[in-house]
Amino acid sequence: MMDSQHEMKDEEVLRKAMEDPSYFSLLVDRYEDAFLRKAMGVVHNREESEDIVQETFTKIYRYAGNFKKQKGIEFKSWAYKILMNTSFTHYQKLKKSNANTEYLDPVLYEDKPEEGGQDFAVMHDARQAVNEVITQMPEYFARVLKLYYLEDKSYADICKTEKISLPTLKMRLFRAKRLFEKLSAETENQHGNTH
Amino acid sequence: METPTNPTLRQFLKNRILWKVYTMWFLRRIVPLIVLQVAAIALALQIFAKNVFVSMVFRNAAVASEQGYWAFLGYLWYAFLNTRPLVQVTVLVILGVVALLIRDVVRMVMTYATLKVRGDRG
Repeated sequence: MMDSQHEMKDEEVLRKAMEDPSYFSLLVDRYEDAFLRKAMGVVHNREESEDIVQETFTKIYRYAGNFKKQKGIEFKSWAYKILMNTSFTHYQKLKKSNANTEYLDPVLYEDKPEEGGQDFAVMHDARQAVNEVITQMPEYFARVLKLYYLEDKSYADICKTEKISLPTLKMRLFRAKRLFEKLSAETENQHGNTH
Repeated sequence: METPTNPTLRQFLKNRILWKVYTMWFLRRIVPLIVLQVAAIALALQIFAKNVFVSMVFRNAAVASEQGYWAFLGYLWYAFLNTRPLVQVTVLVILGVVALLIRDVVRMVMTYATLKVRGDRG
């Protein structure tokens, strides 16, 4: 009995949970850890990420009726969409409440689609993708990009750390961004060819 | 990066989630049913009270009950058979809706118990 429950597909579990909410614990078991890690990646705050995960599961249950299994869309991607939407909403609230809070990677944040957009599932691996591209770059380019976009350091701090002048830093960042765009396009093409 | 490995914290979060889900299920599935059922029972009782001299029925039932359970049940059955069809239908509706109400309350309690067991299993 228990084995058959654990073998059930997510979509089926969700459908059953509409009638008997105790089934929902299976989905919580399956996704709780992964959701927490993903939310932590956005807000870098344990309490906030727990709130996000709780809100995400609640939304999943609330909107379960709207979830229709379409070709190519599975429960997992739908759930991650909700998670990322919720995470970004919390991130924005955090940012408003604490102007100094800059948890989210700026590169990821600037790519955020318009309010209420539904494209976060595509973005949820953006951090990984950015890191993948950065590792292919020359060390001095990768370092300034990471410091500026991922660690959100100021120009002054980076100049100090790298022992370079401001114009040099700006030029290096400009060239690094151009290289980044080129490499990311190549990486995308490679991924496209392998799929 | 810190990962959610603490089992107690995970369990705590899971219980919070399941409690919210149960509350939503209860508000969406059970509350409307119970409200409808209580409204139906209230309406049926009103019709019943308008058509039956309730205090007389109680008085006769008390007299019948002095002769034992079977006499009491026999009196109720006799009273039911000899009343007007509207009252008979009303009584049947009340009994049916009360049965549904009991079923929903039991379902609510059983679901909560199962949810607790599954939630604690972690």
